[in-house]
Amino acid sequence: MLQKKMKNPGYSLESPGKKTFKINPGYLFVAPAVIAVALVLLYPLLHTIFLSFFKSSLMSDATEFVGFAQYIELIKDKLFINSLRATFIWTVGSVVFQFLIGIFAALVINQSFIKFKMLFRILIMVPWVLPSIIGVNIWKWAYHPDFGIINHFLISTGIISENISWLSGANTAIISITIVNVWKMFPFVMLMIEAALQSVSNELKEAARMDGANTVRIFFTVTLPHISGTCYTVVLLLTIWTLNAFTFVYALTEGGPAHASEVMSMFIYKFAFQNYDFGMASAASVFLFLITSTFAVFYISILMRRGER
Amino acid sequence: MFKMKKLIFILITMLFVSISVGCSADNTGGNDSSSDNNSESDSNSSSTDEVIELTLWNPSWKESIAPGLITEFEAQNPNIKVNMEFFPIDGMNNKYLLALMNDSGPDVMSIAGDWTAPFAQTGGLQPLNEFIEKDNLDLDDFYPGALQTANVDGSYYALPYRSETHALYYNKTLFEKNGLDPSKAPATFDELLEYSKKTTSDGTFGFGLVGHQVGNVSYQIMNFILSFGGEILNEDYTKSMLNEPEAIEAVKYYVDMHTEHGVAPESVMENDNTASRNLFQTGNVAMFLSGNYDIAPIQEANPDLDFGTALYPEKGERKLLLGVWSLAVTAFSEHPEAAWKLANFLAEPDNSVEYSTTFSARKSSADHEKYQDPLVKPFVEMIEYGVPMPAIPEMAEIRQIIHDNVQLAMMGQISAEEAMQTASDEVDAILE
Amino acid sequence: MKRKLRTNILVQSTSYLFLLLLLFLALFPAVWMFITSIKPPEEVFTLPPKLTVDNPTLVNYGRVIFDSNIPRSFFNSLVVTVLTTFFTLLFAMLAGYGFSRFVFRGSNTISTGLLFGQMMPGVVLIMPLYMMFGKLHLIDTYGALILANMAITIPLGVIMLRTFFDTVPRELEEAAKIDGCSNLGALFRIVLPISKPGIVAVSVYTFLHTWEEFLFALILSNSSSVKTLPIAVNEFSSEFVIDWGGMMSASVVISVPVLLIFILCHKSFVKGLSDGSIKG
Repeated sequence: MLQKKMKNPGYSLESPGKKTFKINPGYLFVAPAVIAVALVLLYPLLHTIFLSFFKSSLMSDATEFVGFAQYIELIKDKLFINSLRATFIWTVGSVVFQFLIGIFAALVINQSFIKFKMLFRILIMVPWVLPSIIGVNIWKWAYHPDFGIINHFLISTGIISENISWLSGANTAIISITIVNVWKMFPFVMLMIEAALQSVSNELKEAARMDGANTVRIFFTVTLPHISGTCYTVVLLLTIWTLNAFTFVYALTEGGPAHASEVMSMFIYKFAFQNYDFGMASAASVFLFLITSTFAVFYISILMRRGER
Repeated sequence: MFKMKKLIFILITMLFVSISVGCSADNTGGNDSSSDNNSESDSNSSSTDEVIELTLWNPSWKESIAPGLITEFEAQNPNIKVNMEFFPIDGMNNKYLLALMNDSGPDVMSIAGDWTAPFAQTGGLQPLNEFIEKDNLDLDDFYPGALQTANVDGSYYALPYRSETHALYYNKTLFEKNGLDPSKAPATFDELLEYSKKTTSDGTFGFGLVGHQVGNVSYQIMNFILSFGGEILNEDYTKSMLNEPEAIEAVKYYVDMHTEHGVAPESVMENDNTASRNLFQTGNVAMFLSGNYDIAPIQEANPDLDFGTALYPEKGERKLLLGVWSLAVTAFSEHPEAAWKLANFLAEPDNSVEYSTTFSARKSSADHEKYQDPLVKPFVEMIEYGVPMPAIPEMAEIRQIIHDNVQLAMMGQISAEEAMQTASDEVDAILE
Repeated sequence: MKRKLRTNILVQSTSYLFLLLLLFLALFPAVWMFITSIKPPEEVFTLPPKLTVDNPTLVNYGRVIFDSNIPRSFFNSLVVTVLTTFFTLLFAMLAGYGFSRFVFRGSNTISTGLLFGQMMPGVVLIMPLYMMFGKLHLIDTYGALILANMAITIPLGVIMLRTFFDTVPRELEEAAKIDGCSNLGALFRIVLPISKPGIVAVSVYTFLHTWEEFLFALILSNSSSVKTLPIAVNEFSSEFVIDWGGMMSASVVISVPVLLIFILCHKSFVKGLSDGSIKG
């Protein structure tokens, strides 16, 4: 992409004579978006970082500069450590299953003999298209300990012997919300991988088959290298989105029971809007932002590298 | 073809833009025009042609009650128009607090008694003493326990309109079915457990224990602690009493109902007060503890249900929480006079009977015909045993701590003793 | 040969079986929602739960449409979503074109910054946004919701359209410019008409995102004249805990528009999205 630009430098250098008093039109084109983003994204981010160094109090507007004290307090806070643990389980569990189910679905649907591809694709996409809050309502009802369809199904098939309180069990709560997240996002993986699969050349596959390679071997030697770039980016995107996710946790368990499913975004929300401790909440936000950014840096560098190719 | 589509697209977009602009201007007008016109309207506030707009924030369960009263108020005060908003109890405290901190809320809000102190200390509420004096409002007509919650450092920041206590609901049919006398409710906590065990059988559970929702769980637990002879905090609110033997015994009893005796429904950890009521009205639960606001919804949802109410179970001396709701005027209201008028109107003896779904906070409405129903009688009797919750800003956090630790105990992760010891330490740390 | 045929049939049937299973997992919750929504109240709470409906009814829908805030919230959601989509599209079109066609100092830094912005957690933004909107007296207005949503939708919109414009040959514009067309004219007359799939993709993405946005709406709106559907549906559930039938009907009502839009536009949308977020 960059190289293309160098070869064809666009209009800005077109008439060097007039250049002295003319603003590069590129700036004018990007200005509205950049200003809007600076206002609602950059400024809030900087403000959060700023707030994290000040102790704020519920009962007064006065704030006191405390440096990194709130960060240290956070690291010692057992609820914060608990939220890191919950975030880890929630993120790894979600991403692994979203990806595995998604890629498998893409491989299956991409086979040439499958008919009604379009229909399958659209219908399987439904969970991803439905608003999250709808997913919440549906699953809350399905998880209901007394009247829920899931307990009914598991009991009538003999898998469990007594009703499980999915969303309010100390161990099941986080698993239950992870299942909902997997349900919502695996179609996205399927879609992306399938798009990438379509660019894998059939000749290569045929050639490998001639050489006597079986399907599994072809997958690992021909297909996988071809889609690996897409896989990386998809996994990174899923990770970032899952780290940031809020609706499912808030509306399904509110982080409960007793903090069992309190992921970082929920922890921050509670600190900010229940305890009204913006200072501590900001410090925790910076932590979350740093974690997310690490993945974002990987993601962007992959995109950049590909762009240069 | 393409042009046609484009044209339609542009037209539709323009339509939406114009509608929405018109509309948003219209609706922000409700809140914002007051700030634009305030200098004008304030100076003219005596003249009647200027219409003052007030915003009133209500809990969501007032949605069917408030409009009638407001129509009456607007008829009495033709120059005041009241806009109402309704909020669900989940997150209500946060929402109100956020609004008060940022001066971006209503003129009048309906708040729980224990929120008055913290809200007042943010500086977001208007002291009402001046208005009370001017209108000669008889404070002796309020129940002292209710009035106490409105008093913060010597000033009154709210007018109580509702006071209530919990009592026992029981299903007579389920009692009879399990060989219990349907005219006799359990009177003590020992009996409560015994009856709960007897009524726990195929698909029905004896007792609607509450294990979900910070406000609900902590309220139920505090009721148990007080009934068992314990206290939440010491007298000057400087130290936790949650690790005293009475408190531990109460919590152990509460937790054991679920973990030991299994007399609570399986969904206990997902059940708040409303869920318990739902299970009760469908006949899945034989008994539960709640305020008298649940009588009407039960009768409405299941007219055939044969149920009774009785005094809260006792263990020695009767004592339990007095729940209070009040009306507060915000400090940033552009029309404090009109806002006071509205608050005072809703807290009047007759109106408060209407506006509160339980009991008025006024002594003079005790004889109201609404309160003569035999189902309501036990609740009336309980009021005299009610004491208000400690009125300190830290109470919201303390209730969260009680809720968290009791939940852990109910899930069997820690014992009741451990839960209350931890809770007590955490509360002490806050109060320091 | 025969053996190969048999394995083929085996592969084919297991493939279809797997797809059907997937279809079931994906759709069953939505179907269950629909079934519950047409159950009369007494059938909603049955033990064991029943998959069929004996007396299908529309009373739940009646309650949602005539007796709740859902219709008003539907309107609010429509306003917020349409305006967010409109402004996102406008800003993203201009910026996408700027990045695609001009070389200027800082262009790389800015576009990387945008990519970064797209990944920002909502909870990190919401506190300062609340304070800022509070000072501007924008709390509880459509404006606050639209602005906050644009923080998330503009970056991806710019990236997607930039990628798309890169694939549009420049020769056409150059010809138009020789005929006296301005930069802006070239964008609107030449580039946009052939970039329809990209524009559809950005619009659909923005629409879907804004329609379901929850956190910003939860914090920034107070009155029923501003609250969007996700908030109204969530409050619906806490107001009448028992009313699963009503909740499911409300859920169906809020799902229909996004499903329709997705089915109508899915082709360009899928292409635009995979180009934008994967190819960069």
